[in-house]
Amino acid sequence: MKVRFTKKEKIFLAILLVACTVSAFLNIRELKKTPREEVFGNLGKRWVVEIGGFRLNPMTIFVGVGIVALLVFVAYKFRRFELIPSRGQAFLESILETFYEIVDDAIPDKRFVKPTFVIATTLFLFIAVSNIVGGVVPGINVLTDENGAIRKVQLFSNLWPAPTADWNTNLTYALFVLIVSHVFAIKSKGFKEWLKGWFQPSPIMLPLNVIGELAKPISHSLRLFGNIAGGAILVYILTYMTGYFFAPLIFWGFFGIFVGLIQAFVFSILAVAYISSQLS
Amino acid sequence: MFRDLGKYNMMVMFVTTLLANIFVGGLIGYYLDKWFFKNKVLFFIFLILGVFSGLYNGFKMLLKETERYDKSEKLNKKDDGADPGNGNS
Repeated sequence: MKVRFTKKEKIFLAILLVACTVSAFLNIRELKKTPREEVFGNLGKRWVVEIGGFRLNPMTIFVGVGIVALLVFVAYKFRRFELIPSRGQAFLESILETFYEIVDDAIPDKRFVKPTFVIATTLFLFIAVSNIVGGVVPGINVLTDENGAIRKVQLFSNLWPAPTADWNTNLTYALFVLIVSHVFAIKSKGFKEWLKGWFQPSPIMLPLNVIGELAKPISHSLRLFGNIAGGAILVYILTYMTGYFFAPLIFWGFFGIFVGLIQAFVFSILAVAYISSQLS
Repeated sequence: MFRDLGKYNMMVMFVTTLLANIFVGGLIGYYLDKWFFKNKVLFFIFLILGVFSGLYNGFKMLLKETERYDKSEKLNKKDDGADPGNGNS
């Protein structure tokens, strides 16, 4: 297969390449003497703010709100669907149509096809944009000390901190999916039938079913968190070890686009699967 | 290539389900034990329950996935058989 780019895409890729190279050169003077100091000095430290006993992660909130604003802007721009679609509209339509077909196949109760479709696509769009922003685009890097206070803010020295690289975001979505699936099940089958479902296939299985249900959000959220946070750490270490020059571009592209999109897709497909398993 | 990716994903799903179940079972057992008896018996029982629940749920999921897989494979074969003119798609 031969990959062909249009002129616009070529210009965009060239600008991205130049921007990454320039930021690489600018960041050479930030490098520590030994790579060990650089790599393990900042790993796993996040900017944390304590408000009323709650430990908040401001970068997750800022980037998350930014992504939501971006998605709302795109939705506003495409609020009127034209009969003859533009390129962006066709792209969005193809994504939504794929999801609608998957949801329509999976959900047995037709009343819940539309709400499930809305949940799945919203999750997919947010997570996909978040993974790409956290995987490809150079952004702000906040260096902190052990207690979570800011030590230094660097521009374009690292990628944006993705909200999905924070387990709190993923666990929120996974718990939301769990609660929604049970609410749908009660609405669809009635309370008694739903209660009976816990004692299937025999009453001895009740503890196993409870543990299995509680384990769903854990495995659901940890998969996404592990992939994105692990990818971010890997890119972080590799970029500093290679002097921030050639390899980062390739790895950013790979982890950002490929793994990010696949994980976003898997997350929303699993959400659909969990909801459909409760409904059937 | 994407078919192989689906197989790989199935195995990863099985393993994560298993681990998450063991983790949740252990967690429930640990806290129940801490509040009631403090002799680690409940922790042990719930850990074992977690292992069984992980295997049960994991295999249930695997069976469901394989069923779906077989169905889609059959559909593909049917499609191939329907139009022998361009069957190399």
